[in-house]
Amino acid sequence: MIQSPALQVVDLCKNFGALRVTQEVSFHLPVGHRRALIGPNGAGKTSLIHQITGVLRPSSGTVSLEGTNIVRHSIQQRVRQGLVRTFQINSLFPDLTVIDNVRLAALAARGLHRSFGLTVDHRSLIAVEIERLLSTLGLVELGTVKVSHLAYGKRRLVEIALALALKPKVLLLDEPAAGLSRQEISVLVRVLRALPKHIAVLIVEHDMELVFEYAESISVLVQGRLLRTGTVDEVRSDREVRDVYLGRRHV
Amino acid sequence: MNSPEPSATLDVAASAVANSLITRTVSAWRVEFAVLAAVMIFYAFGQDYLALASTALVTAIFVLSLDLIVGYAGIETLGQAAFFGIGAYAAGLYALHVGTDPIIGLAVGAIAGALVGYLSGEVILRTGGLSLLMLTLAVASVIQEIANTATSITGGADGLSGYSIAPIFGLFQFDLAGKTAYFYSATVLIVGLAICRFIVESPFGLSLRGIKGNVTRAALLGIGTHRCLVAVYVISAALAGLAGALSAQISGVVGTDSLSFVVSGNAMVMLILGGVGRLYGAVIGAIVFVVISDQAASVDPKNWLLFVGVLLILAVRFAPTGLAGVLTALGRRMG
Repeated sequence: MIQSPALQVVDLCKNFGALRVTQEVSFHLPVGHRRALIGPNGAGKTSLIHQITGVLRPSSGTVSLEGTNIVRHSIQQRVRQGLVRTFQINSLFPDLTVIDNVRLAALAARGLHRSFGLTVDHRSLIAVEIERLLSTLGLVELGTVKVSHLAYGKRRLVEIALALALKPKVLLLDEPAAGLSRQEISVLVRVLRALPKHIAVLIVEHDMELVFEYAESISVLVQGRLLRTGTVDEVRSDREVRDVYLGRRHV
Repeated sequence: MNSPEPSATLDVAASAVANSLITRTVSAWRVEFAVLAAVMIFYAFGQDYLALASTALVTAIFVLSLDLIVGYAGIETLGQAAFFGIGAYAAGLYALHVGTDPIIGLAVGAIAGALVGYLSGEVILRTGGLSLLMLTLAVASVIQEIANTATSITGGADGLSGYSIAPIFGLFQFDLAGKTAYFYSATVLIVGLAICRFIVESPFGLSLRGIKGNVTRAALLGIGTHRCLVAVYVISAALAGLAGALSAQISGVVGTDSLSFVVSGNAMVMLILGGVGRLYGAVIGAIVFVVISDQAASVDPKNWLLFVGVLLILAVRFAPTGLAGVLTALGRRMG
């Protein structure tokens, strides 16, 4: 049996009146694949992410998660099915500690967020999971710190911890490196490399060093259209891509 | 799938994560014990003031119900008296027409509060901020007006009275000195406090704090935010109804003023004074407010509210986290 791709987008179109922000975009993400989505500002990257996650309804086309068309599913349904994203602008629970932020996501992922008490098994399961996530992300010492007291770079890592606690099959990372220092980016790359192998990742990013270092393949979006999809080397050496986006700097 | 070996997994988790969970549960019972001790000590020395003390305790339960929604779920309200009054009328009417057992009466008050909380909450919690504030006020005003008009049931402006309450568990007769009422209210307060703490420390309580901090993100985690808010609103309304029922049983009279905006507003003042979002802040605020209003009213029966106003301004200026916040800071300084 051929395994369905983790995420498949077919002929996706989105028009705002005469403005066509997404034009016949098709691509698929095999299970565990790490793909970068790049393109100049205004290329429609965020609109595409919004359509995949359910914030925007596409004008036509389908989005499938493991072979199931989810184009009519709500944002929450998609999250429960394993389509999880991080946010460009930090969107956490500022008054809660790092542990409680992650715990809330871990509880929600198991449908335990409305319970009045947990069994010992559940409690230790969740404690272990929080522990594991925090140590992967190097956040253990900050566990009891309120998120509002954290530095920006650390918050971005908490953002990723939250996404991972939701048990994603497909993880959409919306500019995870924006605003991070070089040093913080190297931590980020290490974290992203350490992600479980079965998670497919689509990363939208302007930091080309990170993209070239991390991604297995790259899709280039220009004016709502997929210009090229290929391996890092193919895209890097593509003349057209160079002209519209990369410039000479990254060759 | 086999459940994991608890001992093994706990070993792995014996760290910051697990520790933060354990210390929290151990330290928390302190509040209930502190209230119990205070109740005992006051009984030894303050026999003449038991009636006032009972009022303070009942008020504390009511303010506790407010803290549950304001402090933990971020639901701003000026209509909490609706549930207090409904609970009081329900318990009064039950005692007058059905039965005189006080415990069943409490349950009747709580259920009546919960029912009205559900019916109104389901609708008004779809809004937020100022609109929600106004809607809570509107619901309470409508209910007060109904109580005022339906004189054949509620007694209208004269109030509901003439009912008697049987001894608690058939053992403790309500006495003129107010001893039974005092311990009765104290018990309900301590139980209420324990239940509230249980709720706010549960996964559900964490969801509420998440919703309060960032409702959009909570929804994006797959949390049904409206359902959670309605659930806590119903629980809070039940507790407020319980407080109302208690008040009706102890005082032997229910008036339409128990539904009034003043009751809602004062409760909010007490909560801010004591400290929002800590549960015991509600208890401290209620007790301090009731005692100070009583003292101020005996000094100057006409302008006593002025004292209370000044007190609130001072509290907000010098102790923005409430009296409970001051206590916590002091405790931290002394180790």
